[in-house]
Amino acid sequence: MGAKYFGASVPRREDARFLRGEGRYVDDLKLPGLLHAAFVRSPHAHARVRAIRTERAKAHPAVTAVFTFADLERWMKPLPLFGAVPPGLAARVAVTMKQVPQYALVRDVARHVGEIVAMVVADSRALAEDAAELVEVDYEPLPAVVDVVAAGEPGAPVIHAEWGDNVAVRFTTGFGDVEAAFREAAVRVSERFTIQRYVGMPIETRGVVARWDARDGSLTTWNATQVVHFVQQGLVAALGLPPNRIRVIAPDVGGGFGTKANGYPEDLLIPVAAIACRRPVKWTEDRREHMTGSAHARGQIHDIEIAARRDGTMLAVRDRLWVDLGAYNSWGIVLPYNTVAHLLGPHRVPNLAVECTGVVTTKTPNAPYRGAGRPETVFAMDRIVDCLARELRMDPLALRRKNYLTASDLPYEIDIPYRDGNPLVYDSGDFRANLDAAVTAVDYAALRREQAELRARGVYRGIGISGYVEGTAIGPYEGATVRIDAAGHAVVATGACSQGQGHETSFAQVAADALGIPLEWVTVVGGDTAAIPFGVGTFASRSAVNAGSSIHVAAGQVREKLVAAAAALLEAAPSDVEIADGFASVRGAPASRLPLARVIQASLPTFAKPGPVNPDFEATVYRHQPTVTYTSAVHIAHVEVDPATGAVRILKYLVAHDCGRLINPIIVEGQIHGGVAQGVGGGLLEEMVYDEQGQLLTGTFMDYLVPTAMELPPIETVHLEFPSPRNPLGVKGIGEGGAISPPAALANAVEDALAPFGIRVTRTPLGPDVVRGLVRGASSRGGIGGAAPPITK
Amino acid sequence: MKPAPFDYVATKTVAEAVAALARGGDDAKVLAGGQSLVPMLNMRLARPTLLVDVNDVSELEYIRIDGAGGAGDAGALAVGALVRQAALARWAAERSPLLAEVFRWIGHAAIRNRGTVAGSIVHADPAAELPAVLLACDGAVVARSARGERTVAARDLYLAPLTTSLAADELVTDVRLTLPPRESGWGFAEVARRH
Repeated sequence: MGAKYFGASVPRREDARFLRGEGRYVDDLKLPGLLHAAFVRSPHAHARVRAIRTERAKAHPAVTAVFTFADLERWMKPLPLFGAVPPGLAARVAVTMKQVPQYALVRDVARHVGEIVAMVVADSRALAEDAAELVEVDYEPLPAVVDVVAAGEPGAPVIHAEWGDNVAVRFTTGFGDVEAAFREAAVRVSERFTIQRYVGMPIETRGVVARWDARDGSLTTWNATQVVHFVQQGLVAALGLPPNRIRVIAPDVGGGFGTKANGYPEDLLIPVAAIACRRPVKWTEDRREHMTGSAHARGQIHDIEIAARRDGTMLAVRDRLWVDLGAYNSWGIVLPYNTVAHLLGPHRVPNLAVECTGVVTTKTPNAPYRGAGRPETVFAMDRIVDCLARELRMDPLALRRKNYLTASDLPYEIDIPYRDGNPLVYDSGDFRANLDAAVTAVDYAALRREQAELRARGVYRGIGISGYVEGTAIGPYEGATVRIDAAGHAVVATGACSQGQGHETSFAQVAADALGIPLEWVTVVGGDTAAIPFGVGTFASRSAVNAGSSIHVAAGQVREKLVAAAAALLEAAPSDVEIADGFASVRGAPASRLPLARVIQASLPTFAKPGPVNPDFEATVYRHQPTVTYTSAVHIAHVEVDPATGAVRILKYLVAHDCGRLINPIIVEGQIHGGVAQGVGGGLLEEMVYDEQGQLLTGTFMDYLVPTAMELPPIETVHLEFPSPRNPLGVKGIGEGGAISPPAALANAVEDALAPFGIRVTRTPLGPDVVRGLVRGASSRGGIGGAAPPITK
Repeated sequence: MKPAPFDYVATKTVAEAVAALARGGDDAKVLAGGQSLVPMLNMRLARPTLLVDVNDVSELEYIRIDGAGGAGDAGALAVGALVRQAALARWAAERSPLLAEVFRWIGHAAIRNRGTVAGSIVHADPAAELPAVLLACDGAVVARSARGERTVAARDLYLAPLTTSLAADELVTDVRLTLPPRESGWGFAEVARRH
């Protein structure tokens, strides 16, 4: 493979239209006769719906229809469920798992604020909202279930009556002899850590447009989704139509982060409304709806313990954790098991015991969001590692250096299965090399010296380290079709659609290299079920590995077809034909050079004779990806904390990482920057707060604070490249990584900054109230310097 | 997130606006820059039955300095209720270092281009900058209604977060500030979780 484009910082081809405001999103779609939907959503966290009266709404002059569950019962099939326990996992871990059908409209009981009770279709969105206010619903309030630990206890009000309790997932796993290790260890540290509920917050909210074509009984729906084929499957199940009659298109999508990889009621309701009304229907989620109607994430509690020798050698980790799943469990084991599989990360720990409980609560359902269990588990692990360092009076860097795995340890097996049921074996990387690269880049020793000097002047700066190892690019496949047109240009179609990841650039780089044509000749099509019949979608840091590899293999096959055609035309052996820059030639004979368009034209039959080869310059490959590749990184945060106001300012943020071979460094860095931004949100700003009645208290951007460019420091990146042996490109996933470590790195940095106060950070986000609370608590215990253990090497 | 239905009247003079507010009673709201009101309307948190639009009341577009004593940079500043934040920021750039600094902290350019000085002051958001300036600079607002005109000092204006002592039928026409003389010292500090 010639690598003309692979590895080059090709500017993103899609940016010109985005920066000029020429992107085309679902809400930009205007169709003749378009109607607009608005929803009646439950104002209660938990309530039985006794009656719905729609007469007044239906009498509104702008209203076409009002629908409840009863009106649409024939189409109300359960929404898609994900996260079944694969056989390889079931064989080794006894998982108790319960999933329950969720319907697009409330059938009898609403289980979170924002759940959809009725749909109103009218001439405009504003009028539909007016009419929605006229729908009268009799609710019988039921007890809200908010606290995740209490929700899992016997006697808690039960959310799904058929379960008998609220425990949706429970399992224990681990390896080694944890009891003995703890018994014999010189040092043991334990703590409870709380990771708040915070969410992916795409700038573009969700949206769906649907058009029913009565002429041939087909449906076209535009959906701001990351998973067009999953949306199609859901519609196939509900509508009873074959897939070829249901076309799902994701046009430009303004951010996904997992939030748009979920199965949603509106995916079904808007198409159903279009069919029932025989008119196209649009719904664009507004931000208020998004806050309660789109998936939430995070929300875990870890009771974690670590045992070590006096010299810092880690011996065992024990973790009992609770995962708040929200009102349903449509994601099965995904979040609980991801959390467990990533707990140990870069550390060598010979004994592990985990007890994991996934609990339903009367809150918006949770779904995977950028990291999907990893930021939570890394927070618990990296916090307890820093607590251990403090207990040992050891620098947290030295403790990590002692316990991080290196290239010579790999491949390294963590002796539990991965979520896909395969062995959890780190394929490549050098986690201590990440650490050393990061430490060198920030000049750790200088920061420590500066810290001591400034502390003497009452300025509190801290350094926080966090490291992770992430299983990326879960399979089992993503397909690609590569097709050459008469001009020799290529169209690449894949089920992995882009929500801003730059696929039109990175996938084109892969295809252009494999085909031997200019990058500009490649058009990438994602997000259209008509372009490729099977697909999985874009999430879980999976597209570069899964789609990229299929594109690479398919494009190679097309190149072979072009070579065969050129060989026939040039009367040369195929092994002597080369293709480069859109030309075919006989090796060593530049005069033979022919444009690909000529080769293709010459392959077509004429009246005089058939073509010399069948002009089939197309290939489709669904490459199997049995298990994940392991990306890794170390993040270092340098912060200054004002103990008087509780303000935390990030001075420096550095990421040293390995995601295998880089297809495009600009895109990789962009992914890291975006991920770190969301991680800073989780560390310092963002929290979905519910009160005891299950009411969301942070339902607007006035209360739910997402970081802007103003709150973000410059982010430095250091690339280490350890190619993955698990795919032909040697790449690994990087979509999520940036978001994994910031909460832990920031929490470690804040605790480090306030070390003279002897505080312990046990939760995020570290807003001024939390930081001030820690400082106040320390002062009441005897004040600054009272219990601060000195840090020594 | 679309507003509930309301009546709307566009006014061209203070007299028209005050008369409209008198008719609207407790359920009328003044629309100027709309930077706080429009989001509240869209979220249906504010549900006035009448919006009195004062964006064409050009008599309220003035910035005057009274009793400057020749210095040109101190004294009683009078700002008409329709003066946009960006306009006063431009005025202040050469004349009032304090105000010039404060405006940098307010929202973003698009918000300052549309939002009015008076609007921010009467919205009474404790997180906003201009109410603090009004209090620090011994300020006041002039309010007019069908019942007459009165001047309300800053210390009497703010009752609670988002709550002032103004009546629903009163239109603020004028904001008064006493700018510190050039030779005086000043400081402005703000702690915000997010800008």
